[in-house]
Amino acid sequence: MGEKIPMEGVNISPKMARVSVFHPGGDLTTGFLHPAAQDRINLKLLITEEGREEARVLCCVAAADGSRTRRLLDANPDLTKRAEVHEPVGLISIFPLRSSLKTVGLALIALAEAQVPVHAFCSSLSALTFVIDHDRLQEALVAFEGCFIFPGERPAER
Amino acid sequence: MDDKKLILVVDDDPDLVEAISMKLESENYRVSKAYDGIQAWDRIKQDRPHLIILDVMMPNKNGYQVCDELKKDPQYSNITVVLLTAVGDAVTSTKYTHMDGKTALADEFIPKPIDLDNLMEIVKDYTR
Repeated sequence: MGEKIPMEGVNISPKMARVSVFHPGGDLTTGFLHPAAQDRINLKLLITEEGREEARVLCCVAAADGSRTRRLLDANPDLTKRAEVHEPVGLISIFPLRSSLKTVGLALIALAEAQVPVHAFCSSLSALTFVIDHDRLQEALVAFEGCFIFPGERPAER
Repeated sequence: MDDKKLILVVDDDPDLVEAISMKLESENYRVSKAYDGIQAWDRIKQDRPHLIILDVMMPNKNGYQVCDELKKDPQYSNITVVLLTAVGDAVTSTKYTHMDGKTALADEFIPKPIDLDNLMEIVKDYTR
């Protein structure tokens, strides 16, 4: 194990629902994201991929909004068969990423060595965020503490 | 001596801290960062910022608590505090209300989601 990398912080989320939607030939902005916004469903994390022939969305909503999101998907026959709501998941974010591939690599290796399955991960302006099963968040945190230095006390869910 | 004004940005959302910091740095300010109320106090004591951009909803110690403690402490009460408020209209999950904001001792209030240009105007006004 090399020298630990100092980070400014780590955040972990409360229980969330992971929503995956696949729509061949469709428009998920109109078909899913717009109705979710109208229904005031807050998307904590959003990964989208939209090409000429297919669109995919992966997002996380509060666990309390999971069934409401399922109903919204069920109301659209084009989406309901291609959608999956999986819960509970949690998000663990470390920051700042500063476009460091070393940080990404160390985090992925740490999770792999701890045998924590990763459902998805993405970077944003400052953070590197992993979607994992909620009951594995503390294991992920311990794994990250093996290769990163975080200031202050261990984070509480928020 | 660096005559750039120092702004402390405090929010538990690292992306928002980064976005505000980038904007401030592009406007020739120095930036210090904190991600909760306790870290904010550490930075205040260590860095003595000219102005603090302070989120309300944070773990450990919320923005109202930090603001009230700061404004009641003669050593720090002259530091300008801009509170980023997210109340029921915009964020359905918040426990805070408009009334909490009205009773806080901040110098300015900006509702979330924030308008960065508006925030910069306020920062410029208070750091001239």
